Amino acid sequence: MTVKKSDINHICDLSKLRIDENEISIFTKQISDILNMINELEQADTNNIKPMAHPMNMSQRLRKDEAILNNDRDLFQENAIDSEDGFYKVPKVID
Amino acid sequence: MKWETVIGLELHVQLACESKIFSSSSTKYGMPQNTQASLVDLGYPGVLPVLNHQAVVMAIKFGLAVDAEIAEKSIFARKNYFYPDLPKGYQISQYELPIVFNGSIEIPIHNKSMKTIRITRAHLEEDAGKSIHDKFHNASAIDLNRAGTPLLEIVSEPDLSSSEEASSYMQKIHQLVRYLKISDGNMQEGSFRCDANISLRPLGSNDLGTRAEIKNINSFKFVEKAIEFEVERQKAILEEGESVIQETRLYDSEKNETRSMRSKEEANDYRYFPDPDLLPILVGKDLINEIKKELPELFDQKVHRYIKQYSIRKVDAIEIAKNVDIAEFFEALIHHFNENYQQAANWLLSELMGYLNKENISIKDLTITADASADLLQKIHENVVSASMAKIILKQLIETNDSVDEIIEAQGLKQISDSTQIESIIMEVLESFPDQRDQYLSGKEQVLGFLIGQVMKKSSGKANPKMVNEILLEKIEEYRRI
Repeated sequence: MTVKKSDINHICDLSKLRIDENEISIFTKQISDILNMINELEQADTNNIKPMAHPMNMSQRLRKDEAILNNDRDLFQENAIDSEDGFYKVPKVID
Repeated sequence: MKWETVIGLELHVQLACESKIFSSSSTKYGMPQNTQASLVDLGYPGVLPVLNHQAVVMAIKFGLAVDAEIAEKSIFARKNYFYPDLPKGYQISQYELPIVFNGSIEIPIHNKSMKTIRITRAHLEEDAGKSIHDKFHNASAIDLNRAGTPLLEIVSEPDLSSSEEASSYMQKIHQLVRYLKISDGNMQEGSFRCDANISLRPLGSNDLGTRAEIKNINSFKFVEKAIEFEVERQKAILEEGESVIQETRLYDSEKNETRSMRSKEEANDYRYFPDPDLLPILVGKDLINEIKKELPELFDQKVHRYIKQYSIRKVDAIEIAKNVDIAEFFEALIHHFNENYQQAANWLLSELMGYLNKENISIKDLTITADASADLLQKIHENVVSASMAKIILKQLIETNDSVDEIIEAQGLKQISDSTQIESIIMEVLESFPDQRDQYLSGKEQVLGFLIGQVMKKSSGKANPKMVNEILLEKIEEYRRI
């Protein structure tokens, strides 16, 4: 499977990553290698094997539906780049 | 060319849980911004989601009510996209193996027949936070109180073929989740939202056309309007010989139009994969049977029972059962007042509902109990108060904390059903209006209404109208003989 430069740009768009032009060829090669490895894995016969969603053969433990009231907003907002009036402030986004 | 409309709906139903789907933060609506967002909701590194038991139970309840299959094993997936109100960079949802699949529901359509709409799946997921764009001049404001609120997304097959059917289906599901008490269904607060997938195809064709997805529909009226607009838009494109673009569009209810959400196109690549933080949900037969036993009586069963058990007219039974809160009030009412079920239904639908509609409030906001209402009905039934007095008493009942007896006593609203007393008022009236009396006796029968009016006025509206009518006729005839 060949990875094109446009694929790398698409992945970067989706992951909101900015890479330098000269890094594109590095990642193209690395991602190709990973895909080749996955292709190799796909050779294994998995016809009679059920897909596994989680490596641990256990089921999800459930929590009782009880609300705990705990307002740590001020503490959490100390970690935010910008906040005002209890809101987190982010660069303007409009659809 | 004739076109056929093909619609599938995705309904996002906020589950009536106390706490969030993966954290213990409260889900209460309208709290100060970001006071109900814990480390889990904020997507801090190192935290782990723990699934809410009640959310699972509610999803199963819905599944059973629409005759769906309940997955023995279902899994959560990450839906990856970037938006400021989604702090983790992914929404925990279900993709492969949803908890509920292959269901169906019957909806009433225009010619009073029923149509079966298949439900592809219903899956559990978390809601995102809220972005407010007009709060700050050069920034967007983010409130994450809603982040992590439990949602059930109900996806229909493209079985709906008109805006009316879409609205009918939406209302049916809305009614169902309210009956099941798995959601308050409050559309103003966003507890019940709809995305519509709409496409057109040449009439008779079996292939599906290219669809547009309309987001942001939050009322039964808007779902009709959005679909009608979109159908016309696509028809115009297709008749020009052009093709519809597959895209996400936003419904703007103020302008009544749908418009493209350009920025979402590129991002429609969600790269779902199983969430390694969450183990599979295993649902055993025991749990399913337990929930099955707890399923409440639903709309159709209620209507049927009201007609059979209480001999109520079908139209009234349907009207009462339409809203589960009204139905429950009715049942409490006739528990205390069992003289005449149809009378109770009439009173509820005309008097009480009339008051609610006039004041634009819901029955849940009423302070009046079914108990007190039954007292009032009993007084009407026994002719202690007249229908018009009952209206005044109802208003007082709602606005004060007094009992029916106290109100009647304090206001002197008791109906006069003592024939001697009524007789003496009538005699006074007949003596005071000799002209009208003689006009009646000479054959001008419409004057009777005037005389009855005078009697009622003199008794301050308290005389039993039926008795006034009878006694007046009797007394006026006596003048003929004089």
